Amino acid sequence: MAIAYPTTKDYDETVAEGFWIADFYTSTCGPCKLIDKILSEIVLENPDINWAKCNLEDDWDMKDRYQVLGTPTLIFYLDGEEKGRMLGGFHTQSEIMEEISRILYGE
Amino acid sequence: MKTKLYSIPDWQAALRAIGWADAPTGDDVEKAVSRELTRGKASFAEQAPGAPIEKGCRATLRTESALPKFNKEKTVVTVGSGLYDPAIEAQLCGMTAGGRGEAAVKGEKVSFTVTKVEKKVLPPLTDELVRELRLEGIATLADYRLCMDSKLKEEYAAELCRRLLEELLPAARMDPPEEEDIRRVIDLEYEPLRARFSLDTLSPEEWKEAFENAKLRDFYTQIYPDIARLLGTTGRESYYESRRDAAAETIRACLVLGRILGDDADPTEDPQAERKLTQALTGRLLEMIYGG
Repeated sequence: MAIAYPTTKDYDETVAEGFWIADFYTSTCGPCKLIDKILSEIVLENPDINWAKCNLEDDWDMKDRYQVLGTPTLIFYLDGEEKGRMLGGFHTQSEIMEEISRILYGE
Repeated sequence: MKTKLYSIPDWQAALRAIGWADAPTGDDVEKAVSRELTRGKASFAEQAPGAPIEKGCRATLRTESALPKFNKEKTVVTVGSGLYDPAIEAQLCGMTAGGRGEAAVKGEKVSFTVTKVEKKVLPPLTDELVRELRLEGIATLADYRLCMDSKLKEEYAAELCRRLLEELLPAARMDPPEEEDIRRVIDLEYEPLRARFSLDTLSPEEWKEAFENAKLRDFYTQIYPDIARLLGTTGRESYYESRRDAAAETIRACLVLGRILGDDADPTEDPQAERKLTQALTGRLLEMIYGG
């Protein structure tokens, strides 16, 4: 498992292998802090889940390139292929885990 | 402040009765340090033959079932993660490679065989892991241990302070908080919100729409507890009504805390009075438990 801080330069390479959650956030976004807390717990218990923390303030190009409509946005990747998205900060830990489970193991 | 406190029980006796045998130890600090520093750093290594599966292990399964999700040649499960079927994850604990099991999922039989087991391996704790956290003024493992030690002790003392107050408040002899004091406490907390959200300019409908969203409650409670107080209210008087009990409790807590500390911090004058008194008592408790 890994926690990475990609920019547009190395984003695709970062999420290319394994299961990744790309977490698009800004430092001033309150809901992003809630999602950060939830993902911290999820990656602690699940070493196969990788977390790409994408601070849009560091690289605004990522917003358009990955069609991020607002923060927080989570994009789920399996071996580089986008498998799902969640927008907004009001998702519970179990809702996020259900989405991960659906992607990893199917319905 | 008009509300009068006459006496409180012997607070030191109350504290001894609560006790602090469960105060954080060096082991607790070490576990917390390891947890924080190794987040995102764990890897897996082959489990010794015959060693049982524990929570955190990675098990590879072959599954058979009428359900497509459970009919696969290879499924990798982190045991205890809660991402796979909970009944199967629970059953996996204690099994070894080659073991077989069965579970019922949605009324269908699921058979599984453990084909491989790997254990979670955490990296050794180093100064480098600490530096990756980019914490101001904390560059070494020793610094980080010290910081975590203080954090856990302070959290514990704050909780002890809360429990002590819980014991003392019902037994304290005092007048019911005066109406004037209650209104003054609420005024002090309301004023910054009034200015921040231009509350005076909101119609009752606008106010209601802005602050009645139940879905925002958890979010505000965790991130902006001051805004959370506005949720569910519909105007200034409604806000006052909803905050009456909390304000009365603040007055009572400040009187008791002030008596313990010999401090007359007044919540009708200072909106931070309760926080300051709680911090001061927490500091005193830390000295008592850990000796300075």
